[in-house]
Amino acid sequence: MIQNNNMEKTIVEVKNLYVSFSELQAVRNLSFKVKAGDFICVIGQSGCGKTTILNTIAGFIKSTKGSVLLAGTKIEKPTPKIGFVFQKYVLFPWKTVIENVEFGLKIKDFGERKRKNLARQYIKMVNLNGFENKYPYQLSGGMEQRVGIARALANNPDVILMDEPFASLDAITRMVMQELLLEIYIKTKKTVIFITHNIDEAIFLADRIIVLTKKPAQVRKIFQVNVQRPRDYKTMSSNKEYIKLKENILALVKE
Amino acid sequence: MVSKKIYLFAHIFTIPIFLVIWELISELGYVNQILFPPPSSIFIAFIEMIKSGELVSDLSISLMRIFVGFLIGAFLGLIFGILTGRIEIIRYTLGQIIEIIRPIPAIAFLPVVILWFGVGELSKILLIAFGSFFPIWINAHDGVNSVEKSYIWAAKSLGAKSKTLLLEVILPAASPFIITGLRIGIGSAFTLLIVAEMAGAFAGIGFRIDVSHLVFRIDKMFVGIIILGILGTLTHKLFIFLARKVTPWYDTKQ
Repeated sequence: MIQNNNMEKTIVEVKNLYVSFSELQAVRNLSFKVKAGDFICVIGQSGCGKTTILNTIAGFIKSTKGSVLLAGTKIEKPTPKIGFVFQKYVLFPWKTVIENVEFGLKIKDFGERKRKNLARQYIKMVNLNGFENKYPYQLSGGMEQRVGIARALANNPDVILMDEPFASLDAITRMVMQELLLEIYIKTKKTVIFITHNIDEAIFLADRIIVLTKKPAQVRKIFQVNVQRPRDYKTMSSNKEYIKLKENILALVKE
Repeated sequence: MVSKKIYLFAHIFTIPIFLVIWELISELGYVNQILFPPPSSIFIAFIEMIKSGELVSDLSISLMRIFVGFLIGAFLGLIFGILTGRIEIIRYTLGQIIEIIRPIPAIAFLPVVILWFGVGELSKILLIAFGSFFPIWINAHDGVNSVEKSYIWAAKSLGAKSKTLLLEVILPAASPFIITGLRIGIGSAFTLLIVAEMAGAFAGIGFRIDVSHLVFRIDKMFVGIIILGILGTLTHKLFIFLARKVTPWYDTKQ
């Protein structure tokens, strides 16, 4: 994983973004910046436009006005520089775990041995070694999502977008996955933009939290999370900063 | 446990009992034995047809016609299905024409095909290809057209360009539909084969059934009919096997 030497550099910039679908305006004049290596969580209520924002950053949908910039370049269609982890996993069911993970590498014309080795590394990173030749339908939800993460990571994108990736999982699996994600984050130092409606999750994971307004989405407030890494659930729940932050965010969202 | 044994018993003995009843109805003179042959005469006719070689030659030529015709229809159906399913302008032009022709029963074209192409192999193969084409086309079209957007997004975010997208995402995603189309297509192919052979042929299962009727060899007709039934069952089982092999993930997908 390539270390970004300019750790303070803005890598993603959302600039005066407007996104509308026919009559419906989902995003209105949204602007924020993400520094390289940051872990950003975007919180908002269901239906406020979070997924739309992420899909626009990914280049899946076109903005109506404004732009998304990746290291200064406009993003208007999907690119392997921006990885994506879906809420519903979206693994290719006709491919095995390892074939899913190496998908991007195959496109980049990596040789077979190199591809497989690299893919195995990422499969190991998400604790799925031994499951390389299984099909998604043979895995549990949590395992599928881990494959989704490995697949996005293996492609070595500059930024990884995550669309409520743990929403479909039970509470226990979710906690395990969050801790695993942070481990991976520390190891790979990727820039992550993670959306969720779960405040605890956001505080646990992020460096900064962007709270959105109700539809059409705009930035309501940005919170800094001053909790040391590495974080884990044992120490988190009694952490004063965490408690205070949660109160503040709750108060804001309830208005 | 007792009721399970009864079901098994009933299941195993149904067909033998059915055959015995059939045999008796025919033998006991309730019906004209010539018009309604018993299973025993059918079996004797079957042996006769094997010995004379006509069964093997009829079967070979029928299978050849179906195989070639179906292959052509499947190939074209798949190609056009991908084109109309993925490319909008083609869907609105060529797709429209195909859709207008589709509801017409292929059998209706038989006289025209014979007129244009004669009574040789070509007209039969073309008719079979024509009939197989439509169900394969529409299922391939629906299959590639309805691939979930999220698969396309996922593939593109991993760097997939058009060729990879088609071969590694769209076609595999559409394969359950395509296999269904093939299964329905082979059914059409069989129907058209028999119709074409009855209308103008000098060999083949359909021909044999037709010609046997003219010389009052109803027993031979039934041999042909039963063979068609067996072929139908075999192809059906073949497609189920194919589906399980190629798309093991499909049934279990949420």
